[in-house]
Amino acid sequence: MIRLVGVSKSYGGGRIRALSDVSLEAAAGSFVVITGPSGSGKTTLLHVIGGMTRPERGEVQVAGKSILLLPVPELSAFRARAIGMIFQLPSLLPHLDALDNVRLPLYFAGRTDDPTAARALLRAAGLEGREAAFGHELSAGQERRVAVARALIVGAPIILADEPTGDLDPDSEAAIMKMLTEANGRGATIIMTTHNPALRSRAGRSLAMKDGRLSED
Amino acid sequence: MNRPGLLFLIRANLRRRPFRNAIVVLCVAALTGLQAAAALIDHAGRKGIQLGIERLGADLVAVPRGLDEAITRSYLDGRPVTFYMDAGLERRIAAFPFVARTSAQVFIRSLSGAACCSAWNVMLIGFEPESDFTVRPWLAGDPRRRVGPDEALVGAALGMAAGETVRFYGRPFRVAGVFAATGMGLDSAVFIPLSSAYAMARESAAKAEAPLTLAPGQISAVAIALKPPEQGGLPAYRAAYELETALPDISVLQPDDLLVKTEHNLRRTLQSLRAASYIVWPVTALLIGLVFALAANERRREFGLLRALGAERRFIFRLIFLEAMALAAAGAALGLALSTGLVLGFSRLLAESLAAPFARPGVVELFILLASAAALALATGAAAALYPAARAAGLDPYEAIRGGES
Repeated sequence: MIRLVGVSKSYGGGRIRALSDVSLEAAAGSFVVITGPSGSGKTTLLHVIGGMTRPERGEVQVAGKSILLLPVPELSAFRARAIGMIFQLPSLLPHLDALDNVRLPLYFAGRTDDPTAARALLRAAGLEGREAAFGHELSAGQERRVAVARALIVGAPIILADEPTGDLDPDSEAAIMKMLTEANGRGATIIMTTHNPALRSRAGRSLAMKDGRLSED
Repeated sequence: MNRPGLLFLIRANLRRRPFRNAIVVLCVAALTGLQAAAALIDHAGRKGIQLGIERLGADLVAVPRGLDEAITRSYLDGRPVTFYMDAGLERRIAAFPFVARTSAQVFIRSLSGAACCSAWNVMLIGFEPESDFTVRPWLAGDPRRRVGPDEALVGAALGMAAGETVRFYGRPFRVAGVFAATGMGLDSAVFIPLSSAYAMARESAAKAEAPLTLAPGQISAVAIALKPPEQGGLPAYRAAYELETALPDISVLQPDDLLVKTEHNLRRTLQSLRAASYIVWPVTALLIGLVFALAANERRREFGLLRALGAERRFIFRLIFLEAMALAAAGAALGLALSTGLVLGFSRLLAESLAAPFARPGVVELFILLASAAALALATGAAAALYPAARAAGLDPYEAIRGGES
């Protein structure tokens, strides 16, 4: 389902090595947790898998496609349909309310608008009654839960979650983990990065990242 | 429920920055407004004078020597002038071989603040219904209709209707026809038969607050129609020269002089309007470019997020480009509405202050004039937004998101 072979990525003209010869295989429907300190390359790894940045070297196959070979428009369409992305930092579009933020990916995926499904996801995230709230009107935990609902609306087979529970209260953390676990139960492959060692137990597989290198935990 | 998509995002984003957007809209409105106002005034002035020249109907107009300036001004702004010359000059003019027809006219100013005059301080033009070839052809309906001694033809600007009775120097006239507006001074004139003008002068001592000093045998102007060249006619400028040389008591006005005079009167205003628009134009283009370049930079993270959600590059391009076009369109609409409203609403005042005629453009003409000004605004918006839009669309999603975080 997800296969990375010898992937390397650096920034600043090669001065900062974010990924160093990373290889990874994750089966369809698996739940993989990647831990590691800040700056170890976790976020870059998720972005490479999501086709949002290109590595200098290596091969990236996602859902049977070599995404590095896809032309940009096809890659965008692929991302819209196959990847649900949860970002580390607040990522709601500031001029859309919670409900519209959740509905938006359906447009890019070429799917029929489904406000009912969006409301159901917000309800599952414990945000019933907050559909009309904008990002700045929500707490960090609520905002992150909206972002999770947005990542799940399309029913993408792959969910990439970058520290989805970082700095959140226990209730928000529990709600998010429940949503991700349920998505995994429906067959979605989850790749999640976290600082929280306790969350490793929720995953089927745990990997560690350090200095751009990935290893089994 | 509106579906989130391109237009939805554009609308939502435009609402987010009302102040910034208002500045852009106002700049575009100024650009469009200045362009449209200049085009409208130019067009209305030219059209007015063309209509006026046609309405004048004469190839040449002879007036007492040195008064051609005065009559030109009066034709343009409608302010009445009075001057007289001997009627025998008409016969002498008619005797020239290149002259086909002549018709005498007399200019009278109605009294001001007098009960004996229905309209104060307007130009009354006495004309000869029998020999006239300049006034009657413009009568709606039947141009050959006889104009009776107690009938008057009135210009559109006087607001009178056919069948009404008007009174000048105590003498009543029935309005037999109303001329369509030309925007020229003739719109404020009243035409009465020449014989009635003399009779009116005769009776004025008894009927009016002040007597009208006009004796039979006095005329103000002679309208001249020239023969076509194949019948021995001359070009207007040659005929004018021949007449002025042979008859030193007259000046000969060529109606085309009115066009030259109008262009002269309009030139300074049009130059000012156009100069202002040439200053506003690059400022507007720069402002739009700058605003959208800044916005594109400040919204890098947002564009990165949209790309991460699956938006294609062309979606980001369209998002920025159409936002700029929406603002340009709003500015153009505002500018057009304001300039059209002001120019058309104050057309009379404009005509007076510019000493130029003002004929309202027709619907098609107006559409073309306004569409041209709007096209300029939209093209400016498009050109200015092109680079920021292309730059934002080319961002790598990851770089955009990370860049927005720093």
